[in-house]
Amino acid sequence: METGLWVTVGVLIVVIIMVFLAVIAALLIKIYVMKKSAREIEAK
Amino acid sequence: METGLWVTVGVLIVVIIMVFLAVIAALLIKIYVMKKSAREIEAAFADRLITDTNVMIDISSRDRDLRHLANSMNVQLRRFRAERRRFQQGDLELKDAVTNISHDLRTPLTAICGYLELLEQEEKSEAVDRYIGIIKERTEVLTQLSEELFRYSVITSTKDRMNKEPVVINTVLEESIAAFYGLFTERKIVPEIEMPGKKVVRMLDRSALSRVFSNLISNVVKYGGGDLKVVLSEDGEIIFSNRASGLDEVQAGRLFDRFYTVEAARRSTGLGLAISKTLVEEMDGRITAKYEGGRLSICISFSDVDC
Repeated sequence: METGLWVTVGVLIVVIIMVFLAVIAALLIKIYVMKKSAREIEAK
Repeated sequence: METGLWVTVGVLIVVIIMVFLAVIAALLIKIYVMKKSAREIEAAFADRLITDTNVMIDISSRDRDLRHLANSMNVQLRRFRAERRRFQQGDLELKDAVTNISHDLRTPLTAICGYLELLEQEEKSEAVDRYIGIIKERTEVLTQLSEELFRYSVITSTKDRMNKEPVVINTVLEESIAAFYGLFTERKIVPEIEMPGKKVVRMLDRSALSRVFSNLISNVVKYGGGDLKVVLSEDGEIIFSNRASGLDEVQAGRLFDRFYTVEAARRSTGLGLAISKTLVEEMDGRITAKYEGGRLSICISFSDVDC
């Protein structure tokens, strides 16, 4: 019972971290694309 | 011990969440500022293109790439401004030169015409008479060209000098048509005129409007197919239409271009309609040409503002 609870808590933490990491990755990609577009416009 | 461990785990989760939330918030703020800067660049660039100002584009973001973009746009704006200034200066000089040249041409042309008339009264052979006829015809074309060129350059270089007043379009139109009575009779043209009983009043320059109507009617008389229909509507729209063979929609669209002439009007200077367009636009009106079913319609409309 005790071990099962710890596993649940661990999985929960991992899921939370994964979700946040996905959101951060999406935001970073967005920023990267915006910066890339700005450089492309400047180059053109 | 057990409770302490749970509290530690709980605090750890909260801290992790807080850290991630802080990172996400920072990234969102960054995106917001970048988007705002992009909008600032867009608005400032559009504004700088239409206004003659030395103020450069400045953005609120400190992002390196966007700052580079704004800087390179400022460089392009500086170049564009220098080119525009050079063009305006050149345009002004060209207009002055055209005005002076066309003015200077009038004096010798008047003398040539006078001497040609004297020469016509002299006794001469048939061949000489023919040659004089050709010279006279060409001189008349040259005189007309220099007159219209002078008029055009004066009109285009004296913008914002319109003497606008409430003008009854019906009256000006009637007077303009009446002035061509002789030519209508000579060319056997019976103008068909439709006017509302109500006076159509607009803030216009009377003499400019009269010149526009005269130019259009004169074109119909010279190059039209022998008819003329003039319709004035209550909303300030005037349509001149006539038969025009040998024209197409593309040519109709180019009629207001400077020096553009169609095959049927080879002797025209191609400036009359350009002058009309300039005058109509200076009076805040619109002039368009449409070719449909062998008929050319020139439509002038003046917006209804309080007079």
